[in-house]
Amino acid sequence: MRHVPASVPKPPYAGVMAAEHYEGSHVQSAEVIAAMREAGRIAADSILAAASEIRPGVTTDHLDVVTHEYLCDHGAYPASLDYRGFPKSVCTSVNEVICHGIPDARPLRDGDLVKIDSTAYINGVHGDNCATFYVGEVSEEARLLTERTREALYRGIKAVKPGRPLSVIGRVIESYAKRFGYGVVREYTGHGVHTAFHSGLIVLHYDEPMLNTTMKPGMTFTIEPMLTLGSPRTKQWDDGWTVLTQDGSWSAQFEQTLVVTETGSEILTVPSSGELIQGGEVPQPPLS
Amino acid sequence: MSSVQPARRRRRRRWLTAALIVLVLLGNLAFNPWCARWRSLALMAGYDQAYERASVSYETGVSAEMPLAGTGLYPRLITFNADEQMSAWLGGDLRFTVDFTFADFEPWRGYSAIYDPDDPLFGAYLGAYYVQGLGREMTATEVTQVAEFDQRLLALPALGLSSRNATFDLLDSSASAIWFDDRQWTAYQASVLTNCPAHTPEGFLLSYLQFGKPPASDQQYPLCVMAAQIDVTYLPAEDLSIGLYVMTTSQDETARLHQEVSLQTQIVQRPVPR
Repeated sequence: MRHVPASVPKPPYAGVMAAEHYEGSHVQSAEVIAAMREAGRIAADSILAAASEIRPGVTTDHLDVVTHEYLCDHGAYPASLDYRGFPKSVCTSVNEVICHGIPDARPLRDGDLVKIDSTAYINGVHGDNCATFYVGEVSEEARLLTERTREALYRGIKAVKPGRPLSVIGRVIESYAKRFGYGVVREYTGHGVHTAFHSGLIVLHYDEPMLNTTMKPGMTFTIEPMLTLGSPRTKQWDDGWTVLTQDGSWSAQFEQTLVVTETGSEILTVPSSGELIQGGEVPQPPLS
Repeated sequence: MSSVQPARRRRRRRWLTAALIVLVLLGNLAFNPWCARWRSLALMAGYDQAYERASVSYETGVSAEMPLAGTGLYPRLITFNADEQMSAWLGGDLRFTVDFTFADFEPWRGYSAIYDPDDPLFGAYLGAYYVQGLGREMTATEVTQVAEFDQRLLALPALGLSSRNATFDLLDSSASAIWFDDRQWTAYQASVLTNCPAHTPEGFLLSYLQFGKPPASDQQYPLCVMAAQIDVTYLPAEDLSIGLYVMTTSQDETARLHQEVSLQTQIVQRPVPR
């Protein structure tokens, strides 16, 4: 486990193996939402910091170090660290790994796709986001999958409006993914996020009309579609975390934390630059 | 006398029997759900004639002849005119007619498959827009606005969902040039988030005469992602834009109807009635 300075407050679930229990409202106060903007900004910047290190030969462990240090340096706890026993500060999922990949000593190779999922916990709230990046030159198939997964996320976000059922998000995402014959992972979903990391609110990325929760202003949750080139069926490694496609087909994922507003939604995981993370090509580090 | 009386009685009885049969048939046509399709066709023939006489196509002599047989669609196009509303919506002094059809009734069902979420033509519409008076070809934005007007202000309110509560969000669109019926068209493809017509009826709507009365549904006007295709051509002499549209819940079904109906449509020009 990486060291977290004592000055960085830990979330209540850190080091606890049991599932979180949240029984409060899904609608958050203006104060919580304002705090989530800050948590979201730090989480987004931490992804950009890690992504700027991506190149063939770099290990996912190194990406973990960069993310961990960035979050701690900015007073945020890496929410993944010790969350129900997860051993690292960020999830790095490569190629056929859909999500919850544990950073390790495997070097990235030219042509890989790597998903970086980082959550910051600061001032009692979370900001959770994920993006898919290219390692060197990727295949056309992988590039299109990445671009379309990002587009699927933004279509889902566009469908967010108060008064609508949450199921419309999955309907929009799935109908778009189906156009290209992509699989939509069903077992892993978006979730309510605020003071709780996973509040119990479920956001499906496929069409399920029975999910009749109505969106209300002030609700905060993630949308994080995981699309696959082949079957969306999943399996899990014995480490209890790493989720990958059963057929070995590659997967891409994008995620944002957002709040439902009076007229639509606001993305809370916006980097300091003000420009949303696009994923794909690795961002260049700022010139010093 | 005694020989005449039974014959007269027989004639009277026959006449009464015939009247009774006619009454039963009319009663069935009016009230029996199994006759909903025939009732709809009978009523829509009259309705359509009333609107057709004031339509853009009647006054210009230009009409889109769309082959509907064997497509699973209701077998006639219904005409509706909304000049003033469209003028206010797009701005200008415009003439607007929409011809539309929808999923046919299934045998022994009292309603169109437009209400059936399991049918490929759930929530589907197909037809033609006629917009006259813009002074030019419609822009892509105007094409979207016309489609929104049709769906959000005409179609959904007729089915009982007020335009205030109706959704029409354009998710994406693209345009390309195509050629059919010996003329140039601009083909717009789009996906749209909008309401589908499934709902549990509360009271009576006039549109039930047209579509039949829907069965109870566990969803009220659910939001659907619709695949739309509108092929637009412009006739400068009449200052008339014609848009052939198809909108269904699946890309494949939209492509099928586009192929079987839109691309087989003929723009027919008849002498203008005096």
